[in-house]
Amino acid sequence: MKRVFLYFLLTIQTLFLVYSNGLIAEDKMKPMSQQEISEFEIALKNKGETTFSMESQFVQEKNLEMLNRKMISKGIFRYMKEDKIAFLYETPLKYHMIINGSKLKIVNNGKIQTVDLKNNPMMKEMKGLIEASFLGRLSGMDSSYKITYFQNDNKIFVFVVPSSKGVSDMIRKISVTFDKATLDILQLLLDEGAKSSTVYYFTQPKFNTIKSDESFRIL
Amino acid sequence: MKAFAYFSLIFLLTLSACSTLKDSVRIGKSGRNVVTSVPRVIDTVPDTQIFELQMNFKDDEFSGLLLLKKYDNEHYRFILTSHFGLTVFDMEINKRDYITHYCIQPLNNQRALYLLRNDFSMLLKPDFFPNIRYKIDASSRLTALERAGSITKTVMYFTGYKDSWPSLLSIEHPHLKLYIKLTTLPDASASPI
Repeated sequence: MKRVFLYFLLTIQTLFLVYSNGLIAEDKMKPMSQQEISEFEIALKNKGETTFSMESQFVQEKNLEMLNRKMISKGIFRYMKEDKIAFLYETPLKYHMIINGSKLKIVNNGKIQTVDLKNNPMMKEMKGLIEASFLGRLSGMDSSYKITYFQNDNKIFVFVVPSSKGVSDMIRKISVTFDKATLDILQLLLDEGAKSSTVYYFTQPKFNTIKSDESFRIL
Repeated sequence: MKAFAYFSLIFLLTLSACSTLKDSVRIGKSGRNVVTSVPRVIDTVPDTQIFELQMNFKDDEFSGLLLLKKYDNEHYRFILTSHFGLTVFDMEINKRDYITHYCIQPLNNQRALYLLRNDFSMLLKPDFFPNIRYKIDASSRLTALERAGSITKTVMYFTGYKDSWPSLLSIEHPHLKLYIKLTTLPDASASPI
């Protein structure tokens, strides 16, 4: 009797697990196959070939889990082929960070500071990743990253784990989320570990509307 | 050469012993130029506050956002992030001790962190250390303080008062060529996750 009861209990438990996993799997992301990755890379590259510039609103959300608090900054993001990126913060204060080639310009309270990206390894990594995402060259990034691809019904998630100690000390993982239909970058997440992360949400993208590189000028 | 080093040390010690604050007062029970207490410069009522931080060290400049969270019993946490969001340091201080939860490698130096802890402690409690000279204006507001010391001499200025609290707090370590400015950001807020 006892054995029958145990068997019954085990069957019920197994059925419940199968059913509940199925439900979770529908909502959760799953790994992409090699063929799906190749198709995604080709589509992203094709989009990159016709994207000369992009401008969008962005919201930066710094999550400090240890304090149960988040800090929000907002502004405009601009990208121009091939190596120009600008984060123009508007709130809580005006702060511009412009990357053009190997130079980084910071404008804060009217003061301009220009540095070489080789002196700022973190921004250099970010520039490389953003460019690779826009140009469809994620798989071409050097071997100092481990890249994995996941998807759900609407989105593609690319997880980039830096293996170089200098970068991984500051950033544990970078996640880029793409809209599956349009291949627009929806968000970028920097996981710093230590219960802290920063998410950049990009909205209202406008493609090929920037006609001049004036706003990226360093000197 | 040894004589020059000795002379330099004497000169530095003499220089650091001279107060640069005119008409300053100190805390004491009685006497001339003595006050019994000094006003605070950081509002201790809000749960969290955000400041813009600008730091100049020799020829280098850095700016970011400093989040201050208050706990009970004079226990605080300071987190400095770059504008881009990355954490620079995360430090917890109370009456006696401090804990560094995180610090980026270039700043992860015990003496630098101890100096920051002392600066933050004085901001939160201007009489944290004894023998500090204070400058108090006619409206009984603290406008400056100076803590003598050889290489770590500290001078702080509090200006731009709005609603009883300064909007600009400057920390100067002239011998180290380290200057830190904190500006209150009334529009910035840290909301619950």
